[in-house]
Amino acid sequence: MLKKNKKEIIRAKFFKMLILSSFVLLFYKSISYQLLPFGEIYEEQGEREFIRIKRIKAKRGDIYDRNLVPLAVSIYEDGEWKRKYPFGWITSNLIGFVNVDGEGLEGIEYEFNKDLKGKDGKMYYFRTADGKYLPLPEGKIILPKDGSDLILTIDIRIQKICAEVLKKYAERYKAKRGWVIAVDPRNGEILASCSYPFFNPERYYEYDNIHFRHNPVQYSFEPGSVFKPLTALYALKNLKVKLNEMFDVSKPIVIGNITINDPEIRYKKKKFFNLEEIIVHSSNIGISQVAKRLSPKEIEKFAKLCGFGTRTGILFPGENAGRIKSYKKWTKVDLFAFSFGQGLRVTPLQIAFFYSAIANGGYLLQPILIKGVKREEKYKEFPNKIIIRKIFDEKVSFVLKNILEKVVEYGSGKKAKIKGIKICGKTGTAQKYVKGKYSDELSIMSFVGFFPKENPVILIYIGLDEPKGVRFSSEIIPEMFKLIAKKIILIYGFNRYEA
Amino acid sequence: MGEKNLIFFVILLIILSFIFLFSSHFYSWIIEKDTNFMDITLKILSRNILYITGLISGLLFPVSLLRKFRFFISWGLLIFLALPIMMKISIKDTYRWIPLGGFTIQPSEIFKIGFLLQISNFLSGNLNKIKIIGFLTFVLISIILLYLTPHFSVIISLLFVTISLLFLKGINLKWLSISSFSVFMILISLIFIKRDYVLERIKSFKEKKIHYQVKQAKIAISRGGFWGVGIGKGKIKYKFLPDLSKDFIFSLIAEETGFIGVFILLFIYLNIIKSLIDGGISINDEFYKTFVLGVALFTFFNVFVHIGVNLGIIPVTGVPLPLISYGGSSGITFSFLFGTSYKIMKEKEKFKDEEVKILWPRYSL
Repeated sequence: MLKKNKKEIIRAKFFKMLILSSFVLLFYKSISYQLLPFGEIYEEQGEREFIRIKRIKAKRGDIYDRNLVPLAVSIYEDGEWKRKYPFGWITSNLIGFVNVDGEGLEGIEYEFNKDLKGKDGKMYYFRTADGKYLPLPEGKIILPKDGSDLILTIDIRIQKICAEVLKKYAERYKAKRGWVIAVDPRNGEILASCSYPFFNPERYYEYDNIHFRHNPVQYSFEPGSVFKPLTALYALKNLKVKLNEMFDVSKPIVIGNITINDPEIRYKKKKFFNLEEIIVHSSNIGISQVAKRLSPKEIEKFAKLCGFGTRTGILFPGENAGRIKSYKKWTKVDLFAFSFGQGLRVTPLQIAFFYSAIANGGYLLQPILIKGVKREEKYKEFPNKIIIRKIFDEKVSFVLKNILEKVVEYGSGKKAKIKGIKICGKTGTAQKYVKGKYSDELSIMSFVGFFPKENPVILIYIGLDEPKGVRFSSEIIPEMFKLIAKKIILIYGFNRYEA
Repeated sequence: MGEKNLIFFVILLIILSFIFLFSSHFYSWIIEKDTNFMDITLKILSRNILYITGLISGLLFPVSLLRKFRFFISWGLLIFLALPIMMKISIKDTYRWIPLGGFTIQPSEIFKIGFLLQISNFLSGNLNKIKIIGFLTFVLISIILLYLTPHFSVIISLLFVTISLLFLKGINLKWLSISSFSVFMILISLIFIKRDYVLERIKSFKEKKIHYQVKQAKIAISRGGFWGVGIGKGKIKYKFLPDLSKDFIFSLIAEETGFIGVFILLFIYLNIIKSLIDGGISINDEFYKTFVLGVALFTFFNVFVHIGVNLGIIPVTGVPLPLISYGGSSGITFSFLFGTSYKIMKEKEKFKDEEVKILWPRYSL
């Protein structure tokens, strides 16, 4: 009996140990899910299965002009945010647009998409296994962070004037494309930037890509005569030419089978031009003779120094760098062509900033498009003036301004003349290189001007690509300039422009 | 002292059962079917009252009668087990349930009482041929019936209890290995007959192809963390697990009460099993001793398998958690067995080991 009991007790003890260890196993297994990282994957998976997330769209930041006039705003309508562009086509390819998901696709909307977009919030719902949605008892909600507001250097009043004039002329002369860019040459702020053709940003899907291009930044072309002052400037700067020196412009220059001629040669009364007259009458023969004295290496280097051939780094998508052919590959004709702006590609922006340097006494500036960013009541101001480098002396720029004044006074830009204001300017008619030769009909016509001469506060560069029924830039573009300039003066007040 | 512990923890379990059954049915009854709050309370409360009824009837039922009518009761329950098969009462393609008014009765759960009486009889008193043949016949018929039902987890629990009792009762190693071998052979033959079904289950378990239910259970358990998500705040009950209140109630407890809840639950069961084993061992009467130990073993088996399935360490099989799960037949069986065990343990002084004279050949080592 005793033996039996003893045995039973030992076995019972053993069995109890067995049961205890089984429980320890269960307990350990349970802990491994509940307390050790092992369970996390299941936990996450659970969250995924139980929880459904509804996005709360953040409000996209507004875009304002320099006077805080809204250019792009988000409005909550029918349960969703809608992007509105109060100025429609006027700012179309500058501001760009957003797609249905609220992603910026072009222009400023694209470039600053990340800042404008903000951060979407989340609302958590609980999903049952049979597919019903219940609000979570904990009411989990993460509020959206609204996007930052953007303040541009653009003055919408000027933008509007420029865009309207551009549209009117481009349509009247059936131009393929066109641009107007207005810059404050004192600090490099862009006041207006228009590109033809325009489009309606709220119905962007009805237009093809050509409308979305912003020519001032994204288009490059052979500049033609507007480039001549660079040659003159370099010659003057390096004392390669004297102001009273005379050049024979009566005969075309013939090199091999290429003839350099002046389109207006027939009407010339004088046989000899000084540098001023070369620029004023935009003589290819004259400027070529100046260029003859220059080293290709040096002038190419100077052009690059003036910002040609490289991107300005403006905060805008898809900037075109333009192109300068290496001087090593130049023939003699190439040097001459270069001197009057053929054989290289530039962007309107580069031209505008080169002329800004002439206007402000020799400083190449950084194009500035953004004044500041407002993020959650905090305003962050962007630098309002960046000098890249000084490219020539004030003396040289003074001389050149005098010459450019004459262009408007009695030269090719005389249609831009406004009584009482000293305007400097230069026209350019660049024949387009089509199918292996320079076309006689197709050309890019442009005019760049700034005023007042003594202390320029605004510079405008206007261009039309392939206007029909016009031979020379001087016929219509200075006229556009005048229209724009007059209205700007009305806005800003005349006094301000009297030196 | 041990028996007081038992009653205390059993009542605690019934209270916990109310809480978690309420929580588990909250969505499907209140939100979905828009049932009245009071109706649910009553519906669940009626379950708990059923368990308490089982407990009280176990306490009131004279244990001597249990012994006296052991053959009557056990063979009667065997016939009851055969009833749905013979009458072809099929629910969900099985013969597990007999509908009775608003309830369904599960004979295979209640049958455990009959089996305990048979094995207690077999392992007490003198061993003779009739006894052996009688017991083996009973076991064989019950296995066949359970196989036809089918209710495999009960077959395995019977075999587990048998082997464990043989071991606990001090049977020598020779007999232990012989009986283990027979049990093994029974299992093998069952597997062989139903090999496609069994192999598939084992294969899916081996390949770690995580069963949908097990995955959901693991998710719920993992969500629990240390303190749990809070009673009533669990997510698993939103229809992620079918039969949550029966076969996966542990997941809900683990989710809502976390590590702490699991600890308390395991502690309660461990105490119940411990008091049953300690109490059982100290009984002089072999019949009652076997009976109480058998109750401990059934409890252990159910708890271990239920939680093991929930934790993914045992292939999925529906085993209710004693006194917590919604299964009424299982609940009332366990509460009755606990009540009876309590009574036996309390009255153990009355029993004299008079019937035991010469026992198994086991003791002649």
